[in-house]
Amino acid sequence: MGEEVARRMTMAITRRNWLQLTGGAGAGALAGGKLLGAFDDYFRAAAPAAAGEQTLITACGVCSPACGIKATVKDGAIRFLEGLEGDFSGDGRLCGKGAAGAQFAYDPDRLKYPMRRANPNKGLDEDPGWVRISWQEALDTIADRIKNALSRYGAESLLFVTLPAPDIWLRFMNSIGVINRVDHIDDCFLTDRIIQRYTTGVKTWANDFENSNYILLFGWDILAKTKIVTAQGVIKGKENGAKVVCFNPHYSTTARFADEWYGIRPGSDLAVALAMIQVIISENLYNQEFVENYTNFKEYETKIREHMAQYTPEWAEKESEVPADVIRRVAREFAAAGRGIAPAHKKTLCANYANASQLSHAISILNILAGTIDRPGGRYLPAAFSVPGVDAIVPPPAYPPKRGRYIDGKDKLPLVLEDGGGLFSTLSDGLLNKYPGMIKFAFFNAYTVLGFPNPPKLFEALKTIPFLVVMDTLPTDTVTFADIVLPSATYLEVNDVVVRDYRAKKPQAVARQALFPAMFETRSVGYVALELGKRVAPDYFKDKDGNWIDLSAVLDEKVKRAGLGENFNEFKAKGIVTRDQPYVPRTRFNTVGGTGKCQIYVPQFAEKGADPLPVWRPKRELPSPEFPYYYLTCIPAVHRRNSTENNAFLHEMLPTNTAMMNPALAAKLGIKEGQKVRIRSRVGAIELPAHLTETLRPDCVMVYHGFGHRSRLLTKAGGKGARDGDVIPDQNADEMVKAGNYAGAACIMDAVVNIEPL
Amino acid sequence: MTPQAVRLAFAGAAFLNPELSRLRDWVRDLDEPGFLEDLGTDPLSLETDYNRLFLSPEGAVCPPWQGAHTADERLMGDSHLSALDWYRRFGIEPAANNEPADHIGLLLLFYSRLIDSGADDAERQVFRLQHLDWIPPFCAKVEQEARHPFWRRLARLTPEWIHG
Repeated sequence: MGEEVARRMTMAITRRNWLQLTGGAGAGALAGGKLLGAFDDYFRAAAPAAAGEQTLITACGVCSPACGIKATVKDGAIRFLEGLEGDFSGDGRLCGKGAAGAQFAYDPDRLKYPMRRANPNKGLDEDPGWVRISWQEALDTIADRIKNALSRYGAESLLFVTLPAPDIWLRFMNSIGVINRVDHIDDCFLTDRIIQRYTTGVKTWANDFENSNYILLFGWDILAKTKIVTAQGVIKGKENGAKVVCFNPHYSTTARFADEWYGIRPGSDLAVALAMIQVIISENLYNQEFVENYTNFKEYETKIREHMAQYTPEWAEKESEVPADVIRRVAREFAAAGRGIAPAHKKTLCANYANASQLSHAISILNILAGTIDRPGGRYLPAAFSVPGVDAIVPPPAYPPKRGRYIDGKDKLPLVLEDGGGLFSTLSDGLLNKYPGMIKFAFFNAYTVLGFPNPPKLFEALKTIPFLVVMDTLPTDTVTFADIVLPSATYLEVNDVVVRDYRAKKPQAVARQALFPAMFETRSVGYVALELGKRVAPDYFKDKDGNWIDLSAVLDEKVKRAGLGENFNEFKAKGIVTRDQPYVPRTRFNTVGGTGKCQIYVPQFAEKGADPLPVWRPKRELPSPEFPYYYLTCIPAVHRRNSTENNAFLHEMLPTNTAMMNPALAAKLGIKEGQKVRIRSRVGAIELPAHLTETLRPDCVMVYHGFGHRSRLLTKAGGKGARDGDVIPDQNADEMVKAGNYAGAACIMDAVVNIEPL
Repeated sequence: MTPQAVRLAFAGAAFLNPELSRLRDWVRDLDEPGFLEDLGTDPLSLETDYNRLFLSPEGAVCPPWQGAHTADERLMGDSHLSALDWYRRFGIEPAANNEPADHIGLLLLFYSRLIDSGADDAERQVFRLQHLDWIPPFCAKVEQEARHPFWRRLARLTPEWIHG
């Protein structure tokens, strides 16, 4: 076709009466004949003119509410992304991250082709010698490694660092009996998920802020560090007359918006929540209709009253520095409001101390006492389309039993074990101390070392794993240790059904559709699951006729069974489907134990070595002469965890992190704005320029998460800022048991530090 | 092909493909001393250095797409669409529909044809202005960062070849 290319260009030019051509004879006769052949590989005759600009509907994939997107696409390239009208999540808006989404697919640093390392030596200073390989070779190699590890060492030797999604990926892990799967949920909402299962029935993301009249926020900077669906909810709630009260050591965006803000001592939110429960119960201010009919309060009333009596506002003031009269008044107002809500969420400044299990329980009790569980203005259970998983559509043979040792030690924490979530915070300990050498193969999917407490320790731990696969969209620090790197498709390049569950009084679903063919040789993890499945556990990846599972046929079937259309194409053409149905508050709650009631006292916790009622426990680490300051970390508004810092648009808004501290503290330590400081904890140290701000308590220093990407070749994020996690201690399961951290919080807010000017 | 077109086609093809056997074939079409010796006999070192420079999963030293070097700093942006327009005006398009059209290799291959097909000076100049201006500084970086002599020499000569 080299000649063909030359001929077509010739024709095009002659048609336009340009200069007479010099070429045109047979390619072999020309100088550069072999080179003409190179055109064949890279050019072809143009297809008929492509469509002009198109508008396509899809769903964002930066975070979980998956806001609806209206995308303007030209020639397969995104020109603009905007919110989708009528969408419950975004309500016609996108946040900065969502609007900058095209850059995730179009980042020049993006992982593009499967690669393997030619240099077997691993280390931060080793050149891996990357060699491009085909998907076939990559999958064959990985499958051989898995089979080999399974037959020689059993399923316990495999480690998957990944969420348990999509369903076909979970099926793959189940088909080979994987027991060591860990994800970041212990950094995040694990405690709340476990507590909600036992206290109200099921973890819900749906908070009816807009209909609430009293919004009580422990730590959560809901306006700036969260989803727009929740931020908009709180704004609408306040417009509708709700009072917003906020406890946070940081005078955050939400604190500024709130009616009242209290700069609580870090880690003491539990004391305030316990005292509020005490006030509401001792003064009988709870919603009697709800509490008596839908909870186990009556059954355990004496125990509850006796236990809570110790937590007076005066006691709580000593722990929290929130005045007793404020605690008492806010408790009374909250109970009297009628539609009060106290959300709990991840990465709030409240939720990730060693006492997070107790705090999540106490917050759940406050909502139960307000009587707003699945009631207007409260935490409710979303009405959602029921989309069957692949196992319902193509039932698998019985999965092998899960046998072996847990690398993260979660078997020490029965509530975590039954939940199934794995722990980030104990993984290094498992790899280095508890079961050194046990893991022979690891697969990191869309997670990087930055998300863990104490990353330097995990780097050491990764060196003990003989074979490591990393699948991601961008170069992460984890790639440096990989044997094989697999390039992942972004959410803009895949098809899926997305169901609303953050704001869902009635069911709504959005079609996530590929806006263009997956770039380069990127693929979805679903593809990897199926291809590895065929190679490693073929019986689980065939349909009843013995044919390989066809993922697009499964997607069509999901759409059909969920009532969204005949097949995915039809659903895609609609883009968004909403079913009108009345919202009916439930009268039975699906809590563990089968009583059908919400549980304030949780008898099952007592059976599992946990506290049946929330008990005061201090945070794990308290200021000491050596480490006199609290260390706070959170995610800035414009970034999502540790995955968006290289996005050129978001980078422009916030390129790096700083050591944020109160000017009074800075003056005491002799630190000036912009001066470099060293923050040191018992596990490590980071250096950052100081940024002085009145918005923090003078006994705290705050550092944004997500920065400190080591790979200096990340065009934007490389080498910028410091890893917040380097000063956050990791832990082991025994320490967690001892601390009463029974629902597995990673304790990422728990460090105390020393600060010195440099 | 004119000597300049041969050189540019060679540069374009080489920036797209680090395979030793093919590069050897192409070098033979080229009247440039030194390249064959530079290529050497070790396909692995040639390829790993290419990957480190242009495709590394740890972040490439010199991303080879124009869009990465314009104000956009992104793939599939304006320079991609503009390159695609150029190709289509001449009845061709890149064989891969899911990769940016403004890869240095594609641009150079196309420019070599543009020269060889007798496009007038104005036409060539417009293309150069729109799509080749970024290449000299890019090549300077490649020359500085490359460890393999072949990529260093290629980076040193490419801007000269564009100039004619």
